[in-house]
Amino acid sequence: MRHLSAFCVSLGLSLALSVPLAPAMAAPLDEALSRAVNQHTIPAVDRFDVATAFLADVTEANCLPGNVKPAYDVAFDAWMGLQHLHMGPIEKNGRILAIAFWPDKKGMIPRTLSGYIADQDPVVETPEAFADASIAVRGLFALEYMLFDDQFDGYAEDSYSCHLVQAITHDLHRMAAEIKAEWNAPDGFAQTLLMAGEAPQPLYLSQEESVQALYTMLMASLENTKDQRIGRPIGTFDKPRPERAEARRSGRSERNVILQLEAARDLARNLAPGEMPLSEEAFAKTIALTEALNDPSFAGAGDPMGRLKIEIIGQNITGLMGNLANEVGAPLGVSAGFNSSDGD
Amino acid sequence: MSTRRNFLKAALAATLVPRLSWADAGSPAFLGAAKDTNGDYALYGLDAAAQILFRAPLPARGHAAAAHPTKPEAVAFARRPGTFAVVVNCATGKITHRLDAPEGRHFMGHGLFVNDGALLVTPENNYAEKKGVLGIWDRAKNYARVGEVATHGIGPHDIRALSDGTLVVANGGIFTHPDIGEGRQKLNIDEMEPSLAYLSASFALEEKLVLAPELHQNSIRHLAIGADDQVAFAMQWEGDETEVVPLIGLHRRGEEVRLPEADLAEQYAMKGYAGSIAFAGDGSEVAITSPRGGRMHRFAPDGSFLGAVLRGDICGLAPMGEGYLGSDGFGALLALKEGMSPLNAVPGLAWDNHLVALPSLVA
Repeated sequence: MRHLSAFCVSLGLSLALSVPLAPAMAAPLDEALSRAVNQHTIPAVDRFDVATAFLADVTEANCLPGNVKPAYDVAFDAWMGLQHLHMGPIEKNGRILAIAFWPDKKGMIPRTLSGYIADQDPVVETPEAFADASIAVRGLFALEYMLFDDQFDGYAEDSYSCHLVQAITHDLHRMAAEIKAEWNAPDGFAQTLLMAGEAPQPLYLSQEESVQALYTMLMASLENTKDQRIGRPIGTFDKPRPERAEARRSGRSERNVILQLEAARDLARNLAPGEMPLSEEAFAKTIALTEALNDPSFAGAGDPMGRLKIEIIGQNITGLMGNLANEVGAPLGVSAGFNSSDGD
Repeated sequence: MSTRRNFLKAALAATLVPRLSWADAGSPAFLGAAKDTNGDYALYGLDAAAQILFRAPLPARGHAAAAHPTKPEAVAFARRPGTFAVVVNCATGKITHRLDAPEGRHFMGHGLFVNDGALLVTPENNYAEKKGVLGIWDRAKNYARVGEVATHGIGPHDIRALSDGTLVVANGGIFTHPDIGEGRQKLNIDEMEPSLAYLSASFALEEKLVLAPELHQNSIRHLAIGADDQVAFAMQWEGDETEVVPLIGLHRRGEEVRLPEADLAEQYAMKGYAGSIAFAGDGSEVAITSPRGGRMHRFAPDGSFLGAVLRGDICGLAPMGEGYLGSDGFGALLALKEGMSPLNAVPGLAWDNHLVALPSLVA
C-alpha cells in the first residue's frame, strides 16, 4: 500500500512545521500510557512474533496436520493477546484480515483454497507472491481449514497442500515480524503512542488521545467479543447458529473468548490509574462462567440450555464494560469517541 | 417614545440588517457544531485557517447547518428526531428565529437554501404516513412555513442543489418514530428502500435512483456535488456488519451509478459506515470519513481508490484549498489530502458529524 507510507512521510513533515503541541499531560495519564504501551502492547507484539516463528519452523520441518496443530494453538493464543489492538502496524496493509479473516460469511476461504489447490497456483513458491495472494488463503483461518477440515487435511508431505501450509505459516511469521519491527523501532508505533504530538511519526496530537485510542481498543474488543464471538453462534432463540462460532473447527471458540477477556483485563489493569475492584470481579466472574461451559466449539449453542449459558456470558460482558467505564475511563477522563459511538 | 423606538427598529430592519454580509461575520469559511466540556452545544464559525471566529449557543445537540448564500445567516438543525432549527445571525452570534417542525413532522439534521436564499427547504419525516417530505420556509416572511412537498422516499436526510437548481435528496430509507426508542430506533430495516431523488426547482420528481436489491439496506445519507454536477453520496450499511459493501456512490443524471470500493481489507476497516462526504477543494477527488473505522477514504471522480488517511473518530469533512478540512470528536480540525496536518486543536470540544463549507467562499 503505497499510500500509507506516503501518508507517514507527509505527516511527519507537516507536523514538524505546524501548530503548538498539546501541553504535557498530568501524571496519571502519562503513567497509564507508559504502562499500557510498555507492559501490555510490546510484550503482546513480541509473543506473536515468537509464536509464529515457532509455527513456521515446526511446519517447515513437517507440514502434516498432526505435527502442526500444537504450534497452531500456540500462535493463535498469541494472536488473541494482540488482535484487539486495531492500530498502527497491526491494522496497516490490511494485516488484521490477512492474519484472521473471520467471520467468513460467504465461505470465501474453502472456495478459494479449493481453487488454489486445484490450479496448483504458483503463489506458494515465493513469500513475495504469497504476500499478495487472496486474504482468503492466508492467515489463521485458512490454516485452520487446512489442518482441521476433512475436505483439506488429508494431504501428503511435499504435496501442493503441504507447500501451501508452509507458505501460510511463513507469511504469518513475516507479518508478525514486520509488526514487531514497526512497533518497536525508534520511530515506531510504540513511540507514536508514547510521545504523541512529539513522536517521530505522530498520529495522536496529545497523550490524552493516545490513552483514548487504547481505551477505545479495550472497549471495542469486548463489544466485538459479545457481538461476534458470542453473538454469532447464539443467533436468535428460534434460530441459534452454532456453525457460526469462531474457530470451531479447531475447537477454540470458548478458548478465544477466555483469552480475549484475559487480554482485555491486562490492558485494563495497565490503563487503570487506581484499583478497579468491580471490574476485577466482573472479569473473574465472566472468565469463570466461560470456563464452566466446557464447550470448546460452542456446539451447545444449538440447544436452549447451552445457548442460554453462552448468552449470559455476553450479558456479563455488557456489565463488565460499565464497570470499566467507571473505573478506567472516567478517572482517566476518556470515553468512547463522540462520532464513532453515535453516528447519523 | 414607543412610536419613535418602533420607527427606529423598523428603519434598522429595513436598512442596516439587509446590508450585512458574510464579511460582517468575519468572513467565516466553515460552520460546524460541537459539544463542549460543560455538555453545551453550539454552532461555530471558522475562518479559512480553521480558527474559531464566533460561537452561537444551540439549545440541544446539532447536526448540520445550512448557510445562506449571501447573508451572514445560518440555520442550525437539531439532530433527528429534533423538532427545532434555529436561524443564527453569524455576525452577532445571536439566534434570530426559531423554526419548529409542524405537528407530525421532525427534522433530519439537514437543510438547504434555494431560490437565491429566498426559501429554506428541510428534509423531514412525516411519521404518521411513513413518508419523507421537504418543508418549505419563506425567509422574507420571518421563516414562516409556506408549504411541503414529497421526497418520494422514506427518511430523507441530506439535500443539495445542482447548478441548474435541480434538487438532489438522499432518501435514507429508514423509518423511525419519535415515540419509539427515543426516536432513533430503526423500524423497517428489512424493508428499507433508500434512493436518490432528483426534484426540479419546482419540486417535481424528475429521476429516482434505487440501488440493486442486495444493497437495499445501504442507507444513502449524505451528499456532495462535484464538477459537472457529479453527485457523490455516502452510505451507512444497516445489514450484517460483517458484510463488506460499497459506502460511496457516484452518479450523474441519466447515467449508471458507480459504487467504488477500496481493496477488501481497507473496505472492511470502514465498518460499514460513512459519516460525511466532500469533494476536495480543487474538485480533483472525493472522500468519505468513517469515525468508526478511524479513517478517510479518497476516490478519484472515476471511482478509482486513491488511498486512506487514518484518524480516530474523524467525521466532519468539507472542501478546503486543494484538499479537505476534517474534524473529529477530540477537538481537532485537520487539513487533509494524502496525509493530515492539524490546524487547530481545542481540547474538550467534540466536533459533531458535519462541517459546512460556506458556498460563496468555495470555488
